[in-house]
Amino acid sequence: MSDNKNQFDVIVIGSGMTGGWAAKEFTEKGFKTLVLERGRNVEHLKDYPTTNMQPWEFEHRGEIPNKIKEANPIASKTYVFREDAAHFVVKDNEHPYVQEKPFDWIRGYQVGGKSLLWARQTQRWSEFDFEGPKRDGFAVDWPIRYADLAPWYSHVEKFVGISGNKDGLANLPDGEFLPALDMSCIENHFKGVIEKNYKDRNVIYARCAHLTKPNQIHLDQGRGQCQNRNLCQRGCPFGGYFCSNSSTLPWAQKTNNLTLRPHSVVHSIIYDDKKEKVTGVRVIDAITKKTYDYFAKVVFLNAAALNSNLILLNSTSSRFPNGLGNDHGVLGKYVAFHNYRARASATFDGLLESTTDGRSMTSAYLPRFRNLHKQETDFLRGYALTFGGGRGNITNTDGFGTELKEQLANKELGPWYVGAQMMGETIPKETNYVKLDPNQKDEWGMPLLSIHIDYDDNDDKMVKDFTEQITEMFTKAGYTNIKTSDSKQAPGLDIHEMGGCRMGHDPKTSMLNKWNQLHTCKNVFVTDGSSMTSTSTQNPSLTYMALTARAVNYAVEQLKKGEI
Amino acid sequence: MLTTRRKLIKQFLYVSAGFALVPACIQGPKGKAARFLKDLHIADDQELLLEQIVDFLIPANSTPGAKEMEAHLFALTMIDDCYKKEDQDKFVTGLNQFDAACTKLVGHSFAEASKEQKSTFIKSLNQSKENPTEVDFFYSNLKRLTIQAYTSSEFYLTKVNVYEMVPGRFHGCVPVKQNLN
Repeated sequence: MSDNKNQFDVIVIGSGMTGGWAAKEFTEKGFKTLVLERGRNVEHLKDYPTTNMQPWEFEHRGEIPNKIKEANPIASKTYVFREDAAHFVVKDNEHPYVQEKPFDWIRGYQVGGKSLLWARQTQRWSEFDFEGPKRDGFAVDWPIRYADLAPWYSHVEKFVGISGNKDGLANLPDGEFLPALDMSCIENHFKGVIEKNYKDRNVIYARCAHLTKPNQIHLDQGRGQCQNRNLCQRGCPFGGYFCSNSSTLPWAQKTNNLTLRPHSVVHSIIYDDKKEKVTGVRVIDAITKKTYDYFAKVVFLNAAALNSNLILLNSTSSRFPNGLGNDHGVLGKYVAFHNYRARASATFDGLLESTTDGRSMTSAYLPRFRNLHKQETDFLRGYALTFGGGRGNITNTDGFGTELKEQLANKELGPWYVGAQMMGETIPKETNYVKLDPNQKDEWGMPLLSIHIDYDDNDDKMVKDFTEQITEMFTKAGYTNIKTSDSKQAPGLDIHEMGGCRMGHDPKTSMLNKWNQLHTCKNVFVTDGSSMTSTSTQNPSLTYMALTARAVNYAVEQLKKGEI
Repeated sequence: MLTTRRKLIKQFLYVSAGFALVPACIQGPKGKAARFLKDLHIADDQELLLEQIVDFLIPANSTPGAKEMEAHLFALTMIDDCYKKEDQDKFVTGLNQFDAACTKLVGHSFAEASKEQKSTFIKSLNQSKENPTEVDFFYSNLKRLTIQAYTSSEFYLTKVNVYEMVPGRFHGCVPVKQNLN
């Protein structure tokens, strides 16, 4: 390559789920790749300080001290902000943002990003999802369909390692699966009841990114079989679940084509008005606050949905005064997310002779059934739901003395408890947007992101429908003590924010073409959550990874042809 | 992020060092709490009283009890770090009034009361009664934290109800008996 140490073939902004994939694909194909990460380095195994700690070794047995909670009202809302993993979650005061409407922005600023912390659910999208906006007349038409992405789902799944069953469902296509674990007695019970009572509903083992039986490709990554610890958020000493740190980044490192630069806050993507393309990326060193420019033929933007919006909005030039690729004001708008507000719980008095043994890493899953083939309800789209359950120990804590001590040693199994949660599709709207705050800046001189995202009537109707339907399903299953709740949680806590830099056919109404390439600046690709035209109901990481691998493949072809 | 992580690691080091060093270098239980508490002010004799209560709640017999696990120090740590100010105040007020309430009911302070008198007094305390006092609040929270300390202790999780960090398996449906240790 060039003598200039700031010159690379490719710059990837972000080292999380999709940045890791871009790095893997480019370095494997021989491209000198610089990965920029705004946070610190987290090396697999080495930087998992809590991974092997026993419960009694945590000073507060997992609980976060009150003063830390008070200082971090937003971070505290997420389930991973516990004593064992809080060090992987951004603290509120370190990285402020503006909430025009309540939005819980949960972030992971470190090498590996949120891939260290994700819930590891990996369901494919289906044709029904990609055709949604066109059929139902919202957002813009996706410029791709399921068939475009299917081979890339396979490509990603083989490397990541996905545990699942071939279920043969059109609304949740099968993939390349490692063996599934058991479903529990209660999950099978629910499946039996639902599939008998509803011809349009299925209950399956939720596919998850765990190595239930590693293949050679996984062993080659240095990863081993998942040991059912269920302590994933600490970082896994076995590499049993997929994250950038254990998989794509070390893989890229082995090619000797990777340069990883942590502590690199991206200021902007540099557009050269004369060359009419992007030449590189401007970085503020997070520690020294000095500015550095790095240059490359291609830039991949994978900073996580909202931060990718922020970087594009801040990348101004005479050609693009309103942000890179933003000729039409679409950038930052049509942001959407997943509606996780409603839950249900119940108990079951049957199956008392049976219980589970060991730990499952996943749950059961009921794919979207509402409005699947045609519009049927008074709301658009629908929701999937997770279903899980187990039996806890009943401990009598009455009394004191040796009597209490004996009671505490008893392991008497309680009844089965069950729980379900909705995962609703939300409709991208112009009024759900992010923009740069005109006045306030952060410690690095970057404008604060101002967020204006809210639920709408469609979401409320979906909450109501889920609540009715789950009550009916639980009742048919013979469950009792059925309780439903609407957490009214702010958007963001689902940690599935998407859009703002959407794909579409038309450069007038979208930012990216069908290859995740900026319509108006061909050597920039955006392949994280910001590129999503609509949200579907499935956990999105698998789709982001597939989009990324597909886009890299295209970019490489274009580079070889000299088109970019 | 970096500073926070450093702080966190420091905190973890401090915690493990604390566990390792405290029992070795201090004679007797007195005054340990005062060394680590941030907001709470607990006198040495109050610390001793707390130790006596947790010992009464989960005593040592053929196996160690809550006192051996320093459950009272765990309880103080939790109240100091994880309780709201108003609840901290309520807890301390209850602790301050505990011996007087005991004396009022059975004629002796907790330390001087017989086992039966202690039982009579403890049975009278209950946070869920109609008008719970600060003493009820204090006792209920201390008991809950004592149980938490005991059931999350290394002894309990390795000898009584074994915690498997690495199960290496999941069986979705097994007969109940097979699951019991």
